[in-house]
Amino acid sequence: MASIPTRREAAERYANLPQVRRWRDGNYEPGAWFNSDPESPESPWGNWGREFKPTRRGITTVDLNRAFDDVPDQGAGLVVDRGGGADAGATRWEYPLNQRYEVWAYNLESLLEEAISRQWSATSDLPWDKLEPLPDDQERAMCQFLSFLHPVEFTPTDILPHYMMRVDPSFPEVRQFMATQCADESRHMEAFGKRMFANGGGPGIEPTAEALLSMSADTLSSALKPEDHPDVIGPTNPRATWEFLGMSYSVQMMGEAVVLDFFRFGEFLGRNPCDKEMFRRVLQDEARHVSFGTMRIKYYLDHAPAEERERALEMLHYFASVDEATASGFGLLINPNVIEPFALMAAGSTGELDKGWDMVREFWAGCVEEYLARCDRAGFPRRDKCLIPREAPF
Amino acid sequence: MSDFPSVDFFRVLQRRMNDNSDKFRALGFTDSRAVFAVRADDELEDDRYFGAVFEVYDCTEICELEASEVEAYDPDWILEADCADWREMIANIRAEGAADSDHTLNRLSLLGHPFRIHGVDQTRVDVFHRQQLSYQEFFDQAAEG
Amino acid sequence: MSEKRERLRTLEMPRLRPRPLPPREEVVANQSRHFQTVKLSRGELGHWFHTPLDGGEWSEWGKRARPDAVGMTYMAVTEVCDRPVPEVQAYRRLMHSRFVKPSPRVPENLEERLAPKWGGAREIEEKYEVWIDDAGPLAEEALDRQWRPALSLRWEDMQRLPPPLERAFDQILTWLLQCEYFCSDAVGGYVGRLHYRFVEIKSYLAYEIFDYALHANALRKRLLSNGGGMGAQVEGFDAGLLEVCNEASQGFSGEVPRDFNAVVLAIDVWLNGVMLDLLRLAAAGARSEFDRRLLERVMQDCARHVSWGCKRIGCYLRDAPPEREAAERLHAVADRFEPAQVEGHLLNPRVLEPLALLLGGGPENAAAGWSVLREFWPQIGERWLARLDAVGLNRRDRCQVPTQPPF
Repeated sequence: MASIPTRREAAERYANLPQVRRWRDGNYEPGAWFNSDPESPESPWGNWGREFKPTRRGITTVDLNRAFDDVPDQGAGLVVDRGGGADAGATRWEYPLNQRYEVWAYNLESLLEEAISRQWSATSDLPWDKLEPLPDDQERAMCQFLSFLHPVEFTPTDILPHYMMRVDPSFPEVRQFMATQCADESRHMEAFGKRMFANGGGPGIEPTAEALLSMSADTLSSALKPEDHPDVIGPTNPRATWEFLGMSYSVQMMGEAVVLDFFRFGEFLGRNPCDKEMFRRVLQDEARHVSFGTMRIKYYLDHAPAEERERALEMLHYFASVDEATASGFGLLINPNVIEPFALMAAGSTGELDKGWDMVREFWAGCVEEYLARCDRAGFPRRDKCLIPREAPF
Repeated sequence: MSDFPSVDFFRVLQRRMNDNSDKFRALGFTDSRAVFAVRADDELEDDRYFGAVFEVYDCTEICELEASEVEAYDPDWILEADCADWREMIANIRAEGAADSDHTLNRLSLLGHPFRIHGVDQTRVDVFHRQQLSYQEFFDQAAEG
Repeated sequence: MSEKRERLRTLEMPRLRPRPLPPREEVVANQSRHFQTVKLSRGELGHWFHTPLDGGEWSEWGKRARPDAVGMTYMAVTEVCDRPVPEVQAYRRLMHSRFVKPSPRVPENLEERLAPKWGGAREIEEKYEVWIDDAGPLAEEALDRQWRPALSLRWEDMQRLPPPLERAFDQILTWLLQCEYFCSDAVGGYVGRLHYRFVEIKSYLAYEIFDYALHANALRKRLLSNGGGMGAQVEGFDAGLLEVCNEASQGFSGEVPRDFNAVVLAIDVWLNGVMLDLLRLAAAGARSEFDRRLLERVMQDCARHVSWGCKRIGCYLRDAPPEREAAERLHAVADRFEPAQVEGHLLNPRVLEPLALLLGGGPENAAAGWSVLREFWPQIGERWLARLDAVGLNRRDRCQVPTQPPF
C-alpha cells in the first residue's frame, strides 16, 4: 500500500509537476493530444474526420457502425471507448471478455437503440387511474402472481454489472445494452411492487417458499438432483461466476423467455387498462432481452474458433438440460404460486377452474414451442433433447 | 373509414400514424416488415394479405399481396385471423375508442387463436412483442371514425 | 506495449465442465411424479389462496395507494404501507422484499443453507450500510428525470465547430466517457450485494448505472458525428480510486465484508462531483446550443448522483454503530484517493487544456481560458469540503485538494 503524503508533500508534488510548472510560467501550449496530426499513427489521438448526418432517428449506433465498420475482433485493452487513442506505452488491461465473438450479438446495435428509445416510467406511464376493483379472488391471484415477479424480475440486475465490467470498452454497445436491461428490470420490479399496493390486494405469500421446501424434502428439487449440477444451480442462482455465454442462455434467453410468456399471459388476463398496459410494457422490454440472448448465442456459435465452438455447444447443452429440468424451466412452470394464480385468473372465478387449467395447458405448449424455436434459431437445436415436457404434465 | 379488409383501410391507418409522429415518438422506434393475413370465412370469399413496413415513427408502405408474394415480401411477422375476427377487433376499437381488455393484439394472439402471430424466424417474430405498444396504437387509430 | 494487468476486480469466471446427467427418460419420469406436478394435477388451489388475508401469511390486504401529482410514486405506496422503511432485521432470505412475510413453514436450518451470508444479496443487509432518508423520492427523481435521447436531443441541431474547438470538445467528452464507464463498473457490483429489503436503493442504483450508459451512448454519438472523433485516453483519471474500489470490494469474492460506503464516497460524492464541476466548465465553453444542452443533461444526472452519495454518507455517519468507526474509515479512504485524483483530473493536461481552449474560444485565446480555470479551480475543492461538512465529515484540516490552483 502506497504511503499517504502529508498535505505539504502533496502540495509540493503538485507544484512541481512539469505541466503545472509550464502553466505557471504562462506556457499554455497544449500537448500532443492537440498538436499531433490526429491521423498519424504516432498521435495519441483516436480517430478524426468522423462525420454523420442525422436521420429521422437522430444518430443511432446502427448507422454509425454501418458507416464506420470499426468493430474489432479483439478489444484493445484500453480504458477508453472504441476508437480512442492512447500513448504508445499506455497500460493494456486484461478484460476477461475481450473477443468480439464472446460478447457481440447480431442485432446488438438495433436492440440498444430500441432499448434507449423505449424506456418508460412505472410511476407516470401507466394509467393508474384506470385501475378497476377486481373480485377478491381475482385480485388475490393477480397479487400472488406479482409477488413472485417482483423480486424475480430484478435478479438479472444483481449479476449483469459483473459482466459489464468484464467487457473490453472496445465493445461499448454490449456494456450499454446490459445497462439498459438493468434499468428495465428495476422498472419491472418497481411496477409490480406498486401494482400490489394499488388495488386492494397487497403482497401475497412468500412466492418461493414452495420451491425452498421442495429442496429440503427427499423429493427431487425439480426432477434433477442438485448434486448433478452443483456448478449451475445454487442458492444464489443465477451466479455472476458463470461463463458469459451460459449466463446469456440461462438468464437472457431461457429464464426471460419463460417470463416473457408469463407477461404475455398477464396481458391476456388483465381486466383493466392499467394491468393491460403494465404487462404490455414489460413484455416489450423482456422480448428485447430474449432477442439479445438468442442472437448473442448465435453470434458466438457462428464466429468462435471451431474448437471453442464445440466446447461451447457442449456447455450450452449441459446448461440447457439443467435449466430446462430445474428452476428456470420446469421448476418455474410448475411453481404453484405462479401457475395456480394463472389458472384462477384465466378461469375468471373459482367455479370455472377447469376452464382456467385448460388455458394454462395451452399456454404451456405455446411457451415450450417458442423456446424451442429460439434454440433452433440460436444454432443449438433442442427438440430431441429438451427436458421440459412439450405438454403440461398435469 | 374504409371497409375492412381493403388496402384503403390500412392506408388510412398509415396516414394517421404518419400524421401523429409525436405520439409514436413517445412510444419508441419501430422497425419491421409485417403482413396482415385475413383468412376467408363466411364473410370473405378468398384469403387476403396486406404488407406493411414500419420505419422509425412512420408506416412507410402499405400494399396488398397475393398469397404467392407473401414469402418474397419477407415479413418479420405475420398477424393472421379469420375475417370475422379481424372485423370484431376493429368494431371493438371503434366502439371503445381503443381496444378493450378482450381485444388487444397480445390477448387475441396469445394462444394462437383467434389470431395467430408467426413467421419463419422466432427472433424476428419477437419484434412484434418488442414494439407492441406501437402496433397496438397503429390499430387503435381505427377508432377515429 | 507494457504488461497486461487486471483492472477493477470481480469474480472469477471459470470455464464450466459439463457433468453427466441422468437419462432423459429418468428425468421425465421424475417430472411426472414430482410432488408439485401431482398437486397441480388435482387442480386445486394451494396455500396462497387459503391463508387468511388478515393474520395469516398475506400482507396488507385492502390497502389502496392512490397516485399523487407525479403518478404512482414510492411515496404514494408507502403512504398506505405498514413497512414504509426497512426496520425489520430478520429477513435472511435472498430475493425477499420487506413487503412479503417470510413463510414460517421454511425451517431455520434450510434458511441458513439456502441463504448464506456471503456471495449474494445478504452481504450488505444492515440498514445503516444501505438506507437513506427519503429513498423513495430520490429513486423517483432518478426515474422522472431520466432523459430519452429520442425526445430530448435534436441531433439535427448539431453545429459544425472550427477544428481546434471540435478537437478540444471531443477531448473533454473522451475523458468524460472514461469516467462514465469507471463509475458504472465501480458501483455495479454492489447492486447484487444489497438486500432486497432495500428495493428503493437497489432500484436507484440500477437507474444510476443506466444513466452512465445513456451518457456514454450519447457522448459516443456526438464524438463520432461532427467532424472530429474519439480523443486521447486520459491516463490516471482513475488513480487512487481503482485501489480504493478494489480494496472495498475484495474482488467480490471470499467471506469478507465489502465497504459499500467507501465506494459511494469515492464514486458518487467525489468523482461525480468532479465530473459535475468540470462539466459546468465545459458547458460554459460549449460553442453550440446542442453541445450545451447535451452537457446540461449529463450534469443534471451527475448532480443527482452526488446528492444520493451525500445522503448515503450522511446516514452512514449518523447510523453506523460506534465500533464501525465510520468517520475514520471514510477519512482513510479519502486520504488514499485525493492526491492521486488531483493529479488525475484537476491537474491533468488532457483535461484542463481542452477546457481552457473551449473557455478561451480557441488556441489563440488560451490565456483567457486559463484565467477562467484559475478562478474556478478553488471552487472544486471547496465544494467537496462543503458537501462533506454538510454530511458530518469535516476534512478541512486533512484534505489534500488544494484550495488554490498551483498553476
